[in-house]
Amino acid sequence: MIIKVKAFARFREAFGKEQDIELDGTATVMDLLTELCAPHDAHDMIFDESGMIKKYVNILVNGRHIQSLSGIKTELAGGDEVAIFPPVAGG
Amino acid sequence: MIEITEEDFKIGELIRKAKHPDAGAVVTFLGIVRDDEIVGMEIEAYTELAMQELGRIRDEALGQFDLTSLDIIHRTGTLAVSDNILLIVCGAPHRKDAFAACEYVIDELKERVPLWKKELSEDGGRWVDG
Repeated sequence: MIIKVKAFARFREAFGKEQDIELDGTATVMDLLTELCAPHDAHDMIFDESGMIKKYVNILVNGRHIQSLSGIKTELAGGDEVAIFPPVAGG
Repeated sequence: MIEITEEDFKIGELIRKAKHPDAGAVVTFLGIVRDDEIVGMEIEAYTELAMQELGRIRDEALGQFDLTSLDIIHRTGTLAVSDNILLIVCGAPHRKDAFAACEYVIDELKERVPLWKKELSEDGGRWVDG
């Protein structure tokens, strides 16, 4: 299945603005992030030393924060849009 | 009106439009690029989500305060020192609601709307912490 990934601010600079990532079978946000980070050697940007997502990293699936879903265990479906961004800073 | 745009806005025109017959006050907030030893600023938005969130904030403000109009415009792209970033225009029968609504919108925008700023300097740039 294909998942659309959009990255913003410092994550856009690391991963690119938008890309489609292909995942096999049943996949979670964790699977997607692992796939996303590998070619960019960017694991440390997303995960802390204990393998948890860093506090300041926001991940949304179809506009909903994964904290309100099942965290990194949130299951993905083909066509989902995942966004990654740091804390907001407009105004 | 809510807008995220690369274009500069016409402040006078927006204030003129806020002059509803029932309005006795129009309060504006204009955010501009401050010279913190920078040459400019890059502003980025997750536009679809930012528009949704601005819409929610606008609806909340219209529900909480007695307003005749509320416009929010945020710019994106590369800006120079003193360029306009953000304009909030609140029209209300009385000034207290106009001031309170304006403050509510800017406070919520800074907390909730997916926008990011990168300060550009001679030796590169630095993303502003949220």
